[in-house]
Amino acid sequence: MTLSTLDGQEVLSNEQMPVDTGFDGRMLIPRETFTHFERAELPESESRVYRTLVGSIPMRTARALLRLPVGDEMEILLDSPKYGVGRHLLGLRVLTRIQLLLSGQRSETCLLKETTQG
Amino acid sequence: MFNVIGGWVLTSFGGGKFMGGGAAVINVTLVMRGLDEKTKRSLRAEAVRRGLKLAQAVKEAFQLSRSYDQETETLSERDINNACYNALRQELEKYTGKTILISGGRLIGIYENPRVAAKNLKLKAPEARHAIITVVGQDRREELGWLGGSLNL
Repeated sequence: MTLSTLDGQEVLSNEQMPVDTGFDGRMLIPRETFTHFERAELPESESRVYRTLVGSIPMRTARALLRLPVGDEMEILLDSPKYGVGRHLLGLRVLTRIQLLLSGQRSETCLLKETTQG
Repeated sequence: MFNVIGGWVLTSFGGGKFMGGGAAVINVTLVMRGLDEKTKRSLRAEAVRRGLKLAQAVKEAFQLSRSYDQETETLSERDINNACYNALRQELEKYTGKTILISGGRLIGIYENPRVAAKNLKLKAPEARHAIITVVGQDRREELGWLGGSLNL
């Protein structure tokens, strides 16, 4: 996937990212990467909070542009923990917008592309 | 992994970006004199609890501490922008559905969508390190779920 700021500056280019169906948001990124998106941050009072097994985790939330090898570019909200280092995750709200195949036998995650039969 | 010889000796502390990048791990020995017993025991227990080597636990603590420093660097600009948003919040309700841009502690403008706001930020405040871009009435605090995976944030 490729991740850019709202004004089109690429921050991550053709990176692979783990998917996590247990993460309800769109995308989680580490704090270091989040600094590139601070020019399009949501107000602190509107940023997300995640309920986890160890309690609530407040986030910093910002807008970004996500492009996958298949489909159109999408404007998404990124989260990064307010306290902590964070990591890369692609969450449920992105996964529900794409067709994904988890091939356990081949240990692969594949993006599916619609084709017409003819 | 470590011995106490007049201080606290930690080996295998290194690797990753802050040792110069690349995949090679450079082992160094770090002696921490004057570290109190309680902190030492607590750090060792935390490393064991999380299945980490002591050096890994110290490295994580260092990275976390560094992330707090970064927060401090941008805190003032971010704080000023958030204070401005909080002050204008009620007044901004009349722009429901529009995108507002706050930078440098003031409302820069009201736009049709976030991308236009970002372009205007580039023109009007290119030096800004932090800005608030939010769609009034749409961007609201949400409490979402995150199963399990958060344990090693």
